[in-house]
Amino acid sequence: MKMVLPKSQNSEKEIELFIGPQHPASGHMRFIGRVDGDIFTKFIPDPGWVHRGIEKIAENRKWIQIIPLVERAAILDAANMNIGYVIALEKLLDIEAPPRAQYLRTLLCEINRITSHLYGFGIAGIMIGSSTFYMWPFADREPLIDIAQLITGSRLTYSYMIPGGVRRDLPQGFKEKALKALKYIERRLNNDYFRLFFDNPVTKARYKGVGVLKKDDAIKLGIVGPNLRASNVKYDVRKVEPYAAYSELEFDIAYREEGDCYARLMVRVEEIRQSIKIIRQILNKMPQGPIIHKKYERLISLKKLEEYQKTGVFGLPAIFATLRPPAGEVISRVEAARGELIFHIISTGDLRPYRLRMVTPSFRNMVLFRELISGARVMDFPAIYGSIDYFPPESDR
Amino acid sequence: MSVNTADKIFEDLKLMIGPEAQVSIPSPNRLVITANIDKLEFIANLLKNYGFDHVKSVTAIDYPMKNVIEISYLISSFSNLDLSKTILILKTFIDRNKPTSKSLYKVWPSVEFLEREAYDLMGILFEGHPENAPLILPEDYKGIRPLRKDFKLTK
Repeated sequence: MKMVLPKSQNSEKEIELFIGPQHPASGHMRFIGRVDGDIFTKFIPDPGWVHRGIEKIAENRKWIQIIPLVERAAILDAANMNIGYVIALEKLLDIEAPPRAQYLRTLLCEINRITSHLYGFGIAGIMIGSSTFYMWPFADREPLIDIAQLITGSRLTYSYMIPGGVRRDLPQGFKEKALKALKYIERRLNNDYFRLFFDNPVTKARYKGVGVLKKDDAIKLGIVGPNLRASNVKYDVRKVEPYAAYSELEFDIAYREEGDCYARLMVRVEEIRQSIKIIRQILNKMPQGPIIHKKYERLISLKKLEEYQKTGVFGLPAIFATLRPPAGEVISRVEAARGELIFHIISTGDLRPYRLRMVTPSFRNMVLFRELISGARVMDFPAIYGSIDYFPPESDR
Repeated sequence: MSVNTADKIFEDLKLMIGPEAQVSIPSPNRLVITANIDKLEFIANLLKNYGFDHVKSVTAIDYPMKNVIEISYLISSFSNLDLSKTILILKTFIDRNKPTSKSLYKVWPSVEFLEREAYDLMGILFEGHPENAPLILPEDYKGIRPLRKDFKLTK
């Protein structure tokens, strides 16, 4: 948190403009700008208003207790936060989830990617004054949240993935419900959203050519996710270092060449289409088999096993409470909805991690505020903010 | 191809960096270089010229027993997709009582907020960083930096 800007040389002409920290868009965040007329001469992001110290708390929690903790970084993208941590933990334990569990994980991650992008659209919409386009994507998250609830039993914070597998199998009749939800989203995205918002001349005027991020700058600043790919860098962790079932599924990297606000939104539109494609493939070729590594399946008590066979839901074996991964250092990376998520974990063979480092995509994208908004007009601030899809709680951790 | 790239980078780096630092492959697609703080910038420049163009994380780890703080830079590439399969960990150790390190901002501008976060939460001063200022904690925060091991959580 930074209180004041250094005095500018033309301070008589310029005035300071404070934005936030009272929830300027999707979480508490403050910006300190200096304006000359309606041009920002300087613009500084000031995060930290929702800092919860997840990295520190993790050092004081058992390995299994960290799963719900890391999800709190980005509640609307919980599955992707979850899988990043679980993959790191599995590397330490030297186990791998069975194929069916890998497919179930991928399924939930892609559902979350769509809901997260829809949330981003809503925020982008309200920021440039389209209150209908605020309501529509938010309402359209519902069918997907419903099918996520069918899989996990929970709407947002699933804690679905555990080391070695997942906690539940699919319920009866899931496929039909999921296909119906996908069809609905597809129709809304390709017809209604374009008619109302993306093809709207007002939207185009506000977004096109605004907040341009050049390819070299994007690489130099270490930008991640759709914002990076909108500047023509074809980097996607799902392709570079495939995890879960991504190596067996067909999809393309969504990218654009322009690097402006409109390109960033269009990359997200294309990513939703690709996610729908991925989910359809998963529903068609989901392999049969166990959903938890046999090392842990053996430990489920007989009573619970019966319940598991009947309902597809199983209670955690007691061993998870005293999980002690061997000493070591692991780094995992996954493609969360907003970009690359890094976990760097040091274990000393104890009940708790010695150090857990979590680098979230929003934190790495934060520098864009300074780079894109310094020199821009005041009216372009909401357009650029909306297009970055920045989520303060994720950045502050 | 993917299996060989990490090995090839490993051989190249061993030749390039040679006696200046230790290079090892602890696991597939992860490379570790342990360097002395004086050689850090020199090695960083070599790596940048090799094609590693951004930093993913600056991880600071406190070891009170050994009286050191470890700083790990996780480095990879966006522009060269062969290199991007590898994450390179550039490690250095500094004195815990005199936590001063050299900033790699001039080599990789992407370290800017990551180093500032390490300054803020671990109390490491990065020489040559454009702004050693609080980022996440309040500006008037006093006391032990929260990620140090002697900072205890209270209920």
